[in-house]
Amino acid sequence: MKTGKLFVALNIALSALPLFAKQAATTTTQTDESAALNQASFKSMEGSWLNMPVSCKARGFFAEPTTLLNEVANLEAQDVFAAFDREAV
Amino acid sequence: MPKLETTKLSQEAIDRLRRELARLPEEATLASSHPDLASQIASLGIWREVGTVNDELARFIFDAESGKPVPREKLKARFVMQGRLFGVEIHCEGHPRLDIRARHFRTLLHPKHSFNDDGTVGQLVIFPEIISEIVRRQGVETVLVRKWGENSIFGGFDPAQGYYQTNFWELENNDALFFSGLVQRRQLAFLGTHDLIAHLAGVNRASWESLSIQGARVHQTIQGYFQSTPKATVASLILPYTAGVVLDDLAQPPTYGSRSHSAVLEELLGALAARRVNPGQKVLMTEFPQEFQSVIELSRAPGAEGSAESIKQTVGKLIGAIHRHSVQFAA
Repeated sequence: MKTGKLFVALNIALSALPLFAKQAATTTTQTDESAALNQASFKSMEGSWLNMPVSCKARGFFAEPTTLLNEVANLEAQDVFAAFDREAV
Repeated sequence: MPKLETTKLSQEAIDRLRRELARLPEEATLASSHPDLASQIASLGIWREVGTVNDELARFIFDAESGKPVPREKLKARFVMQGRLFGVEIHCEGHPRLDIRARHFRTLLHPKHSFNDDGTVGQLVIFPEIISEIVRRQGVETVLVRKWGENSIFGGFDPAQGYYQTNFWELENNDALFFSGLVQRRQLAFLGTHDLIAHLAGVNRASWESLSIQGARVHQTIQGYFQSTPKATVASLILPYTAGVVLDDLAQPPTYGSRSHSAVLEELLGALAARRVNPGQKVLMTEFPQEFQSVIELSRAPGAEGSAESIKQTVGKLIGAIHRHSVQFAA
C-alpha cells in the first residue's frame, strides 16, 4: 500500500478508536466494533466508489439500443391485454 | 376501445402507499396478492424516475423521424387508469412519433393506447398489473420488495442524484443475498424503470430453469460464507456484491445464459467458498478496489469463458486488491 493511502487509513482508524474505547468502557461487543469499522471504511472508500463507472454498478441494464426489424408479435401477451381490456369495457 | 383516463396521486395517497408497503409482513410480497398496491407503487416508482438520471428507459427512446435519442428532460410521465387498473403513461414533449429500441419492450406497452397508426409509439402506456400477468405466464412472479421501495421510491428520492450509483446501500446491506433468493424463487421486483426494461421485458420460462438454479447457488454460497460471522465487514461484502452484479446481468433477458457471465460467477463463488477473503477478520477498508470493474467487464466480454486462466487471474487481482486496501485489526 502506498504511504499516502496508509496515512489516510491510519488517520481514519485513529478517529474511530475513541468509539472503541467508549464501547470497551461499557459493554463492548464485536458487532459494535465491526459496525464502527464499517462506517469508517465507507467514509474512506467514498471517493474511489464515485470514480467507478456507473455502468459497472448494480442495477445497470447491460444492453445497448438496437434497431428492431420485424420483431415477432407475442401472442400470449396480446391475449393478456385483450382479457384485461374486456374486463374494463 | 377501453377508456384511458389520466389521474393523480396526492401526497396523502403517496403517504398511504408508504404506510401500506411498510406494513407488509414479508420482505418480498407477491404483486398478485396486492395488485392495486403493487400497481400504484410500481407506477409511482416509474413516474419518479422518468426524465431523471435514474431513468433506465430513456436511452432506448428515439425520435422515429430523426433517428436520434430524444432529450431525456423532455420525457414526462403521468398516471392513468383504465377501469380499475392503475398505470403510468410516458410521453416526450415535441416528439409525437417514437421508436423504442429495446428488444421485447413493445410487447409490454398497451397495444391500444400506445401506438400511432403508422406503428410508431405515441406514448408508452404501462399497466404493471398486466405486465405482471404476462410475466407470470412465463413462470416468474413480480414482487414488492419492502426495503427496496422504502429506500428508493419512499426514501428521500433526489431525482438529480443517481440513487443506486452514488451510495453504498446495496453493498452495505449485502443485497446480493436477498436478490439471489428472489432469483432462486423465480421472482423479480417491479419498482421502477430498471426492473421494467432490464428484467421484465422478454422474461422467458425456459431461461429461468437454469437461472433459478444459479440464483440458488449464489444464495447458498453467500449464506454459507457468512454463516458464523456476526457482522459482515466491508471487505467481506465486496465479493458477494460482485457476484450480485453478475447475477443481475444474468437475470436480464439479453444476457440470459451468458457463458462469460456464468464462468466469472463460478470463479467468484469458488473464492467465496474457499474464504479467500476472511469474513471474520476485522478490517478497515481504505478504497473500493478498482479491480472490481475488470471483473464486471470480463464477465461481459463475449468468449471470456474460453480463458479460465484469465478469469482466475482477474478475480485473483480483485481479491488481492481487497487485501491491499484493508488495514487489519486484531480479532
